[in-house]
Parts: sequence; C-alpha cells; structure tokens
Amino acid sequence: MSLLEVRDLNTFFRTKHGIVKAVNGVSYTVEAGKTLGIVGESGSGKTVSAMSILQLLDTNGFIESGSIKFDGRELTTLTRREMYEIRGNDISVIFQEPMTSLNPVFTVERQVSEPFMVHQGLSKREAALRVLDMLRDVRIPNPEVVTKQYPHQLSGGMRQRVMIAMALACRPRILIADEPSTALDVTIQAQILKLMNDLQEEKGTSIMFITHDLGVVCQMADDVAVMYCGQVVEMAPARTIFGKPQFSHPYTEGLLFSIPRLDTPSDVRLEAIPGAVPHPLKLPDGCKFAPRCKYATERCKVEEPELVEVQPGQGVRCFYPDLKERRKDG
Amino acid sequence: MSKKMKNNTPKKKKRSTLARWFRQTVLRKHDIDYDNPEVIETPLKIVAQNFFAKKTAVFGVVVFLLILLVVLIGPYFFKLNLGEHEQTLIHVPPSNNMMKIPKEMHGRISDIAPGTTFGIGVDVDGKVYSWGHTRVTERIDLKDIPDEVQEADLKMIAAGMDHAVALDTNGKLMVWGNTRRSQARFTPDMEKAQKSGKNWNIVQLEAGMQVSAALDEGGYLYLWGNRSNFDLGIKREYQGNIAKIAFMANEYISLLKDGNVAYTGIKGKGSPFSKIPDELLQGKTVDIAATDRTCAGLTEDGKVYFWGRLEKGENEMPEIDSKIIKIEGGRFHYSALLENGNVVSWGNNDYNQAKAPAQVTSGGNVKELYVGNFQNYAILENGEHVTWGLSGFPLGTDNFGRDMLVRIINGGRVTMLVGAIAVVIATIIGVILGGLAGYFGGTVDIVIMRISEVVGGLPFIPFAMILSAVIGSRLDPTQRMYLIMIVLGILSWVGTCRLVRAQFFAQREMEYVTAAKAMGIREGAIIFRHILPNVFSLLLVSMTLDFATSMLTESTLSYLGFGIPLPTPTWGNLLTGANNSIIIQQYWWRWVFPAVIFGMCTICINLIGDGLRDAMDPKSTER
Ligand SMILES: Nc1ncnc2c1ncn2[C@@H]1O[C@H](COP(=O)(O)OP(=O)(O)O)[C@@H](O)[C@H]1O
Ligand code: SF4
Ligand SMILES: [Mg+2]
Repeated sequence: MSLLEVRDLNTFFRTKHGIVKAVNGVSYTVEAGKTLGIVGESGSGKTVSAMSILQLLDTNGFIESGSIKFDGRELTTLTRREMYEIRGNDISVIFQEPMTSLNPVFTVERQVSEPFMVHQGLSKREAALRVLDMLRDVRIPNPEVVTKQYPHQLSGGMRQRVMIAMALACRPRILIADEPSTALDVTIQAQILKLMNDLQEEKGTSIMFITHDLGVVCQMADDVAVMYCGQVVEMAPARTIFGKPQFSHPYTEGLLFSIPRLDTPSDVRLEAIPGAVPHPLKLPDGCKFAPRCKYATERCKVEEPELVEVQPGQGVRCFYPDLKERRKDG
Repeated sequence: MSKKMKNNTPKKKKRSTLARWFRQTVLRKHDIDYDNPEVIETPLKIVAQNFFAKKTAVFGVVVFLLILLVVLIGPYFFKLNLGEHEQTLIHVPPSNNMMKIPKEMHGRISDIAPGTTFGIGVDVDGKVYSWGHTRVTERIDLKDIPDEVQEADLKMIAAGMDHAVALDTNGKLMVWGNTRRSQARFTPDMEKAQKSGKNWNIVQLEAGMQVSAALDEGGYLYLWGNRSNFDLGIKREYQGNIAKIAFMANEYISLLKDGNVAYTGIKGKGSPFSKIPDELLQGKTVDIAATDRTCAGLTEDGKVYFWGRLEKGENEMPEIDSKIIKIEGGRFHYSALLENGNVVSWGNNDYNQAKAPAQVTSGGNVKELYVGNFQNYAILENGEHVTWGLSGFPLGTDNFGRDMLVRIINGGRVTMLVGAIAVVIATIIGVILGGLAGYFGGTVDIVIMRISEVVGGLPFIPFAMILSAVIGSRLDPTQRMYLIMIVLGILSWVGTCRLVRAQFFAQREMEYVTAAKAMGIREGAIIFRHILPNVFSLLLVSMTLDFATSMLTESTLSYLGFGIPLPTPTWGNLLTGANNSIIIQQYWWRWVFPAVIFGMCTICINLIGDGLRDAMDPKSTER
C-alpha cells in the first residue's frame, strides 16, 4: 500500500465568472521513502492539488469529489480538529517564497519552536534546544547565532533551510515541497536540492516535489506526474521518462525538448511548446492539450482521452501514446 | 575570527547592565559575537533610530513625558479636596505676593492688617502700604489708597475681606475699598463721638467680612458695616464695659473689663458661641481670639480654652513650654506669641498657615505677631519679619476659590485615565472584530462591517450626550467616570477595526500565514499570535492618535456637562465656566492654563504618533 494515495480528486473554485476546475480528476501516489515529482507549467493545478491534501484551500475552493488516503486513513472526511493534528506533524509543506513564508516579526527560534510546542507539547526551553538540533540538521552554520535572528537578517538560502527545519521538526512522513528552489539562484538551488536528498536518506521522509522545471525533477524524483490544465497527463517512473521511452505524452515530450540535455540529438532543435495555457474557464472540449499539440487530429478536438496504462507503471492521457508511431504519422 | 571582531570584544564587555538591558528588551538586540560580518539590525531598532532622528517627535516625547510625570505623580503632592469651597479666595489671579511686604517697609513696620488675600501695613512714619491681591472686585482695588489716608499720620489699621479701615493720630476714621455694603456707613453715636472726642480714644480696630469695629479705651464699642448676615449689635448692658473683641465669620465675642468672656451680640443665648467655658467666667481671662467658627480664651494661668464649632483642628494646640502672652486667630487656625519670644501655630494647615517656621518656633526673638485669613506675620526684635501661610496661587483660583494648579494636575490624571482606558477598550473591540473580519472575510466580514458602519455613522457627541444623560443620571460621579470610559470606548472602535481589518486582509495573503496553517497552528493562534504582531506597529500609531482624540472627546463632553461632572476635575470640565465674556476676559487664568496644557499634551501625542508612523514607513523618511 502506498503512503499517500490521491484518487480522482476534483478541486473547484467558485468565482464570479463561474466554477474554475483547478484540479480535475487527478490521481497519483506517493510511496514511503520515495520522491514523487509533480511537473507542469504554472497554473496547471500543482499547488491546488497539494493543498487539497491538507485542506488548505482558499475560502472559495472546495474538494468536489475524490479520495485522499494517507497511510490508509481517508483525509477528506476528517474534522477540522483532526486535520490540525495531521498538518505539520504527519504532512508538512515548504513554500516557494522563502522571503515571505517566515513571519517577519519572529526570531528563527520562535518560528521553528512552534511545531514542537504545538504538536509535541514541549516547553519553550525544551523546544529551543530542539531548534538548535534542527538547525544543525539542515546544515546551518552558527545555529546559536541564527536562532536569535529575524528572517530579514538571513539570506534566501538560509531562510529556505530554516523553512525546511521547521517543516521537518516533527519528523513528518511526507514533505510537500512546493517549488522550494524556484526563487533561489542556481548554486543555492543546488545546495538546497542536495540537502533535501540527504535529509530524505537520513530520515526516510517521503517527498512530494512540485516544480515547473523538469530538470530539477530529474535530479530528485523516483516517480513523476506531469500535470496540464488540472489533469495528470502522464504518470511514470523517472527513469522511464528520462530514459529512452517507448510511450510518452506529447506535452512531456515538449517539456523534455525544451530543456538542454547531453544526449539531445544534434539534429533536433531545442524548442519551447508553442502557444499558452488556456484560460481555466475556457478549456477546450476534447483533449485539453489539443490547441498546442502538433500531433492533434480531428478526434482529439471532440473526444477527451483517458489516462491509459500503456505499460506497467506508466500511464499516458493521449490517443497516440506511442512515440515512434505518432512521429511517423505526424 | 577577524581582526575587527577582536577589537570589538572588549568594548562590548564594558557595557553597563542598564545599557544591556535596554539593548535586549527595547531594541531587541542581543550581545552575541557574530562570525558573520553582516550588520544586524532589527526592524525595531531601525524604527527607534528613525523616530529619534526626528526633532519634532523627540520634542513631543519629552514634553509628553513631562506632562505625564506631573499628572501621575503630582496628585500625591497636590491633594485634591472635592468639597473645597473657600469663599475668601474666589477668582484670585496667579500670584505669589500675598505676604510680600514692600521693601520700603522692611525694618520699619509699625502695624500690619492682614486681609483675606492681601495685606495693609503702616510704617513707623505712619505711611500706608498695601500688597498682595488687592483687586477685591472688578473695579475696586485696595491699592488705590485715598489721598487723605496716604497723607494722614496713621495710628492703626485694619483690613477685612474687601475693605480697609484706618485711624489717624487725630482720631479720624477712614474707610476705603468696597463701600457698597455699608462698609463706610458710620453709626450716629460714632459720628457724635468722633466729633466730640468723648469716648473716642480708640485702642482696638477690627475688620471682618464687610463689617468693622472700633473699641474705645473706656469700653465703648462701635460697630458698623453690612448687617445682613452679621450679628452686628451690642446689648445695652455691656456697652462701656468691653476690653477686647474678636470677630468670627458672622458674630463677635467680647472680653469684658471684669476678666470674663461674654457674647455681647443681640442674639445672646441664641448663638452657639454663647456657651462659654466656665473657666473663662471666673474673672481671670486675659485675652481672646477667634477664627471663623471657633473662639479661644486665655486665662491668667496661661491656659487656653476653646469653644464653637471645632471642626478643623482649631483646638489641637500643641504642648507649650512657656506662657502665652497673646493669641490671634486666622480663618481656620490660631497662632500664639509666647513669653519666651517664640510663636506656635495650630489648626487647619491647608495653606501651611499652621506650620510656623523654625526661626519663630525656636528663635526666641519675636516681638509682635499679626495673623489674618491664612497669613501670619511675625516681627522680630531686630525689626525683620518672618511670614508663613498662603502666599498665593501660581495659577490662580476658580469660582469656588480652588487652586487651579491642583485642579489641573488632578484633572489631567482623570482625563488621561479616561482617555487611556477608552482607547484600550476601543482597541480591544477593534482588534477582535477587525481581526475576525479581516481573517475570515466573507459573511463574518460583511456582518462586522455593517455593525461598524452603524456605530461609525452615529453622530458621536449627541449620541454620547444622550447615553450619558439617560444612564448617567442614576450614577454617582465615579460610576459616571466609568460610564464615560465605556461609552467612549464603545463608540470609537470603528477606526481601529477598519485598520486591523485592512491589515489582516493584506497579511492573510502572505505566505507566512499559509505556512503557519500548514504547520497545524490553529486559527485563533494565527490571528492573535502570528498576524497581530505584524499589525502591532500600525496599531500603536493608531492607538497613540486615538488617545489624543479620546481625551479631546472626553473634554468636549465634560465641557458640555455630559461627561464627568464637577467637582471632579478634568481638563474639559475645568473649562466649563469659561463660556461667558466676563470669565474669558477677567478671569483668563481659569481657561488659559487648562487650555494650554491640554493643547500641549494633545499636540505632543500627535507629534509622537506622526513620528512613529513616519519612522515605520521607510518611504516617508526619504521625503
Ligand atoms: N482562490 C482561487 N480562486 C480561483 N481560482 C483559483 C484560486 N486558486 C487557484 N486558482 C486556479 O487554479 C489553477 C491552478 O492553480 P495552481 O495550483 O496554483 O497552479 P500551479 O500549478 O502554478 O501551482 C489556476 O488556473 C488558478 O487560476
Ligand atoms: S490526445 Fe491528441 S491532442 Fe491530446 S495530446 Fe494526444 S495527440 Fe495531442
Ligand atoms: Mg504553484
């Protein structure tokens, strides 16, 4: 049994102009001790699907249907109070903006103590000692100094380390990392990614790694879910996607083409996917990717494909999943 | 460790405990050796630096703290007496000269007549002087001594509440000052005696509340003046038999030639003062004296007996180790001259009039003693003089004769207390409602905002007036004070609520709030422990400004008579009387001083508030 199992999740938002189907029938699983990478352009519903797990949606959002099973427990039917116990304790989150996700008026100590005090009932003093351990764990130099500092005194990388320390404080089973390195510059980004990999090895935490950068997923993930317009369009082990796949979704293919790789054939030009993500209220009938898909046929415009298991462990939401065949046809 | 750090270390150790405390608690800066060379400044420190860089803000803080200190500590030194009503001290202007004998008289004093708020004196050449607050009515000033008095060779003088009497060496009697109440209307037998010189060898001249008396050596007593409240007559059987008299407020008593004390007025046995102690009826009384409501008699053996309405400690005479030769009464106190040349004072001490200085209590060289309303003058052997008692009021008095300084200080305390508590109430309500509205939004927000619009739309002053009139009439003054605090608080939370709501709207979108939620922290804790501290600085500014507004509103209500009722002073109701041109023009001290200190206080609070706001907003400092 998987540690986290999301099945047919539909998360919608009520807006003035109608219902936004931000997450539309998404399913994925996170295995214990493994990393699931979720990739997709911005607006594809990655954050919403992750926040649905913790039921931290904006007030106009709601889970329309679907099941989220954590360690065999159904989360969607839990009470508010039970959810408080899950958040930060069993499942933690770190966010994209290390600048703003720490409270500007709290010292690092106060900030990182919070989960210890809330979930483990530690006293301030006990918590402060644990904070120092946590800061050491995330490789912060001079934890005694940093612990008394305010967020604005820290660099972006340091702040993200503090966030990680806070998220890992109660040894959660799953860490949801929502674009944790996007706002950092490249060297710091590499350090943070390495830290997360190391910590996963040390503590055996499962990670749900959300990013729009397929290159990062390649470094981090064991499994990959590719999202587009609120749907998972491809779900496969990382080595399948980054290897020489037989099956692939045209969107994944496009993403792969847009990142430079050592083994990119020299005759293939590096190119971005043409067009833009459709407006969430004006989604096309048929395949959501059809307007941008170079393999699209008449059928694609009227009929919507299902996520089909093309080989064990790999699912693709396309009528033409076989790479060679469709290249030939197209 | 870098060189720089090494140089810094000894410096840090030198810091005093106080400085370290200040750094740690106020500036939130901790003494830690940093390996990291980054300059570390907390937001609070930057705010403090910005704030103290502004001269107006610093000025505001300093002046406000001074006023606060005076208003907080002052009442312990300047005690408020709510029942105070001193008829003789009404509308005294700011003064400090009630016992200031003019230089020309120094060492040459022959007689002093202490009036209520002034003094009249005669020097050895018979020349007359006056000092103190002599303007007894709007038009009449005792300083304007008539020419005939100035030119005469004066033998004796007396001063009352608003008039003065002088007798020259030729036996001519003159009156000046307020004469509208018969103060100068001599009786026919006086006129006759003055003309003929028979029975007109005056040995005692007295003046009281618009009445006067002259006593002839042969025991004939002449009384004249305003008879409406005063038992101003003498029973026929005593005439020609009087040795000394003493004025109370509305009566007088006499020492007879036979050494007995008698109530010689027309009321006779009907007066409470006619119950004279037996010891004074043994023919052995040598001196008498009187205060407003009590009398004292001195017997041959040096004992003093008191009677009358002994309510102000008039009979609490201290142990005396010498014989009393003369006893004199003020309004509520006595002073006595002793054989050994010392003086003792006792009785009411509101104006320090019963607290004789050491120079006269143990100097042993007092020759003569004059005692008036609240003043004492002792003339020493060497001709110098010592005074004690009421010398004046630095800020004047009001229409009840109450010291404005005392009332301003105590009024400030009430006004600030009311303002502060009103602000606290308003802030608590505003923060809770604004926080809920801003954090939850939606229906909660709509409901709270509608309520706040209703409250904010109420016409403030009329509504507060109605509330305090409807509920207030059944309450005692202290309860009314609480009522005003609550009314002010309940009617003025709207601004705070809006501010907090807007801030919460902005803050709840910040990622740290989502992060806190994701950490499993409960809603209440997020609102009050995570978001509120971020709003606190702005809240502080609004509280500061609201404090000034609350004080102003309280004062407006009190001025209109719907706030805190008199006699409890507040900065607002001190101004209550100042609504007609007479007070505004003639008794300017009644409104100028409260208005100035109140204005200064609110301006300073506003300066502090603006300074804080500018200090917190980095953009505004660049302007
Ligand atoms: N509060 C909201 N109200 C309406 N629509 C929302 C809201 N939050 C997110 N959405 C919509 O949901 C979609 C997915 O958003 P998100 O999950 O944040 O994308 P990303 O993949 O970049 O994380 C977006 O199209 C966005 O318009
Ligand atoms: S279904 Fe058609 S449009 Fe959709 S991705 Fe496949 S080929 Fe493209
Ligand atoms: Mg996102």
